[in-house]
Amino acid sequence: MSQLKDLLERGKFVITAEVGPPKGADLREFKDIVRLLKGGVDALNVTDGQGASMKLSSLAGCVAILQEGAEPVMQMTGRDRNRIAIQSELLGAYALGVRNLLAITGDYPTLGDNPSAKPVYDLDSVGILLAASSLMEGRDLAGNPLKGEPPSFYLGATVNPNFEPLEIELIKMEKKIHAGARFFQTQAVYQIDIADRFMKEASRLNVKILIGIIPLRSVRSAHFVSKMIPGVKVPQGLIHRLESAPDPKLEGLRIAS
Amino acid sequence: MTQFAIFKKAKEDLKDFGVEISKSEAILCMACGNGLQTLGEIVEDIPVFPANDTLFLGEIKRFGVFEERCSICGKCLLTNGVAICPISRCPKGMVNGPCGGAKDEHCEVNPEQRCVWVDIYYKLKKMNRLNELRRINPPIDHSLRIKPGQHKVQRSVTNEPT
Repeated sequence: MSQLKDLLERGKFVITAEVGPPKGADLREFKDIVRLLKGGVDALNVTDGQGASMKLSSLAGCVAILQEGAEPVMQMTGRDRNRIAIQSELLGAYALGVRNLLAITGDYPTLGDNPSAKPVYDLDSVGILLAASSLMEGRDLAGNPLKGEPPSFYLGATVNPNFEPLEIELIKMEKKIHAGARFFQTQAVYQIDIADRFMKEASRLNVKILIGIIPLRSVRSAHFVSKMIPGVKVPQGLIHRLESAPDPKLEGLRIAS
Repeated sequence: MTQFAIFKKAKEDLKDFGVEISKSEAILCMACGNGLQTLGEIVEDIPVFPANDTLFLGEIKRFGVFEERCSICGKCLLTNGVAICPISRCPKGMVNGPCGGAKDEHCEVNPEQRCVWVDIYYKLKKMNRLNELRRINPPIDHSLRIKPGQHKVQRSVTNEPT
């Protein structure tokens, strides 16, 4: 049973945090971070080669979180696997105890640390949701029956409230809902008016929404977010606030909260 | 012109250079990968090398400017009437709308290019056909394009003159 689903569907205010698996096979530091965070959040999102950088797999990170007694949300991108690998990994994830899935298309390989990798994108985020929904009905994407009890995921997807024009992003959000998404995590938003505009439009869709924020540690990290994270911009006003703050890290946390 | 006619013509054209070819140790071909292999089938005893790295099936926008418009994917997605192909013009080949990575309407992969889904959106909006965007396109059927592509035009028997 997904605790995230239980809390969200009961209308609770839910907090999740994102944890990135290491670039290496040593999970000790990762588990330390999980132990620090687990008391303060309802679930932990595990990235799947975030920023198209090659890291330890999202599934392995999720299993480590389960071992620490916390609840993972497995991020799954379509960048590196075709539909056979995606479905196979979803079955494996469920068998190992993963209950929450966040379907993502994935940052393009040239933005990451193995830029000459083949971009797969056999399934985009909508395709991953279709595949997961199909598995949950006991069939694979091609219609072949599964053996045994089908998996039961709580399906999530992403949406970018910063996107212009917003209407096309909202149409895509509806398609993700039709494909099975029940909760949404947004890209980081740094402007209240953008969050308000989005929530006003999205509230009619009857799904659960978690607004994203990446705490800014410094002016440099603000520039990094604007430059390196697709679809996100930190407004000049917030950068000024960080510049004039005696403790930028604390100011970043104030902005985030 | 059919591939056969091109092949025949190339063979005939090369006849005029028979002496030069027979004296050559190698041929450096400035055609695309297709032309190179046509040449390789005609000139069998001399190595043929490519002078170019062929990039894509290019449409000529203006002199010296080429752009990829079609991926020859085997099943045309452009039934929405918009005549802008996201499989070819979006780096991720998104079939169900933008990936969300665009900033100020521009692509996360190539910031000089406007997100092709934004182009599609504006065009459909102008045509008052935005509903086309709501249709869920299934994942691409890759079994339609098993390499090497082969196609034989067959004359229908019923259309034969009697």
